[in-house]
Amino acid sequence: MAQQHDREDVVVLLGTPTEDASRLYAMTVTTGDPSWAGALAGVALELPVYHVTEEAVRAEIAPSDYDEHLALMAMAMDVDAIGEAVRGVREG
Amino acid sequence: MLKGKKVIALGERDGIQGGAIAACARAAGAEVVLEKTYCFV
Amino acid sequence: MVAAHEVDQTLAADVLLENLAAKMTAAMALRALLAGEGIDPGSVDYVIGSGEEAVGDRYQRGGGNLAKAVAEQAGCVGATGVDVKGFCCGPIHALAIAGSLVASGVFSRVAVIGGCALAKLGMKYQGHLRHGQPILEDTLVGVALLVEGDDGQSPRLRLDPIGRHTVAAGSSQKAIVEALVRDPLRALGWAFRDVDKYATELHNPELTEPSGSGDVPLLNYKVIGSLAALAREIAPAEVPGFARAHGLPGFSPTQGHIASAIPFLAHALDGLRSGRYRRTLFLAKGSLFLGRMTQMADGISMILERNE
Repeated sequence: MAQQHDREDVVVLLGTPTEDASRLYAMTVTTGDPSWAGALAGVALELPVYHVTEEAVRAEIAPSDYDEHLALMAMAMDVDAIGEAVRGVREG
Repeated sequence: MLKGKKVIALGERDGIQGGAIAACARAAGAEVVLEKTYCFV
Repeated sequence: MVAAHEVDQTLAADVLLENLAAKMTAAMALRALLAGEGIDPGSVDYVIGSGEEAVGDRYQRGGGNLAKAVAEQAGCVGATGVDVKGFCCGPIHALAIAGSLVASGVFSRVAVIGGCALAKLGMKYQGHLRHGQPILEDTLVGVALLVEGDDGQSPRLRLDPIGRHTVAAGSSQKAIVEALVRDPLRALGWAFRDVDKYATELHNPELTEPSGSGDVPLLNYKVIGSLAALAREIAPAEVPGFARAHGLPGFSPTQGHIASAIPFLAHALDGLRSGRYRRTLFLAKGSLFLGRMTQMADGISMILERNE
């Protein structure tokens, strides 16, 4: 899929609920699958990746969409730690 | 960063599901090219 | 184990072993239940299977009714059976159906059973080995429940209402939890805090954290607490406290249909009999999307309360 579309157009949005899972998935779509075995093992996709609760993403989502789809989980999840983890992979 | 972009939505069943990410992305003017929900348990 | 057919993959040796293990663990649980309660196996009218195994052959891969094979194995000569398929929320769906059959007078004594999942042994082994741990998912589980008419003492299944993750609720976690928790409570005029214990996904976080999946029971309880906060019943700062008071630590050694709320059932029955609990809510979810026929998950919830 990342080969099909121009890399500049593609952005990955994650909905993972924990810091660890978010880092894992962020690494999978950037540097390559860090887990032992996976379809993307060793493939460096280098796609821009964000967690859907990050400020940069939230800024582009209408308040009513945020309330319906994201607000509840943003309360229950540790969005700060998650955001830091994904940002770390994206900017690292 | 969403308008006019192609989005890959990777969600989790007990987190934010793929469909929810996709709905937000579409409403923000993106095209969703892949929507997936994982099951962590 | 030997394959039952030269070419039919659905009758390969590993498939047969998986199905046999599911059958026998369910039968063991049913036998133990009936013997423990002093119930004549012949008096069971109907057995409902609720596991995730697939029993069939290449022309009918999910033909099913493993329940009848279990009934036969457990000596339930007066019963037939059927399997209810719902991924991990199969058992709660099955319980709702069993309760409905008894409440409507169709049958008097209905068993709900679920066997083990051989396929899930060592499911998250990569994370465990990476952390220098042994392969921790090493348990096979079978479960059997019996549903009968109200005897004035035993904890009661509420069929009014049953929480359902409807198609309309889609993939929005808020709509889903409202459908599964808020709506049934509202219908009864109950607050979130009126339920003493919620039983959700109960997989032990010690098994899921090494592979990065976190503490799923705790997350589910924080989601329910967050919904209570959005409803202004509690303050946002009280969400972790709500999760502790009304939730449970995950303690199931494996995931699957049995790990989804069901492990708390025996404890709930004890607590509801002793008076320790008045009201419990069982909430199970199923990852239907794994079968690729839909992007949706499913969920169902039922209330079990003290008989007063």
